[in-house]
Amino acid sequence: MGCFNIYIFNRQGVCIFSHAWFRPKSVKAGAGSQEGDHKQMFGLIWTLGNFCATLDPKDPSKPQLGTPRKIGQGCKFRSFTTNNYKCNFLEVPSGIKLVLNTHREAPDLSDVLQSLYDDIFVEYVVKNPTYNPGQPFTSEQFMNALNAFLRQNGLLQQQQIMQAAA
Amino acid sequence: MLRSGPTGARNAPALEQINAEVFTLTYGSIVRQLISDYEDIEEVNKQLEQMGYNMGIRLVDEFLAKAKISRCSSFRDTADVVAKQALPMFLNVTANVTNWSPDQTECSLVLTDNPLADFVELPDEYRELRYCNVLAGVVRGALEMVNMEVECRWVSDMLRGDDCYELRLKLKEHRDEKFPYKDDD
Repeated sequence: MGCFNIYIFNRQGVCIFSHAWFRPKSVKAGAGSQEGDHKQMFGLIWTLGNFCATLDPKDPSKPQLGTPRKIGQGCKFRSFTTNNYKCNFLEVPSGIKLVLNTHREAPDLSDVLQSLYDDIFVEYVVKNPTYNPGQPFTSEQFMNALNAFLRQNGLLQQQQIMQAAA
Repeated sequence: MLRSGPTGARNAPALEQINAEVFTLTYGSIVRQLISDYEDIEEVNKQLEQMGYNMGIRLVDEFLAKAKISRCSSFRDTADVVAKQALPMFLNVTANVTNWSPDQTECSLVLTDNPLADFVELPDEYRELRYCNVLAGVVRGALEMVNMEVECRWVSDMLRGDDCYELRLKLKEHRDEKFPYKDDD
């Protein structure tokens, strides 16, 4: 089990943090640039979220595709799986969006992402006095805590094996 | 607000607390310092509000994380959450939400107890000081982060002889989530 990469976006669609643990396909070969990569990812989760709310079979007030919504309106998607990877997603009301790409056999990670936000992001980033809300950041402390957290949840164990196999 | 920095301990959601008197006195000396720095009460009010705003835009994430709240869709519910969950969590007081305007865009948070203002007396020369203005800023900042643009002002203040603290919230705009990029860029 392993994580490939993580993105954290704010409400303005700015990627405030990203990290790749294992990414054999270079960003250049994909989106062309780092910014392009971030923008594509943001566009994907945004659009997918819209589609999910529009297609919701249980919500009697189905919003039309593309109509503006308030925070918390409509249902939320949590993950999607491809034959290669699984994309896990969490959005909190303050507009922070977490995207974690993992091994496709990963279990439901909604609780893990929630505690990543509660215990790691809030503790090490929001409470860091040098963090400028809404701006991209780098923090060694956050990175260490993130690695420890993912390892604790069994999400970084086979990294070496995967790297060796690549 | 009654919180110090990260503890390093994981999975420790309990709020750290500080002694209420230390908190009250610290706040008092901040206000005192602002008065001597700016020498203009209106400017002090403005600075306090701005300080609160800066706190609010960070505090909201901590609040959402600790209170496990996943949506705040209506202004009405949000006002209740502020009064019944956020104020107890950070200030150890509760407020009542009253005086709703007919169109549901204005309401008042009424506090009868306010730890910020314990031991405080306003001298006559500072009658115009909004001593607790930091709180108005916190609420404005925090609600802005959930897409609600509000105007907050104190309409009653026990320090000025009213019988409660009343913070008036006016919802100016409840913004939609919108795609931040243009299609062609």
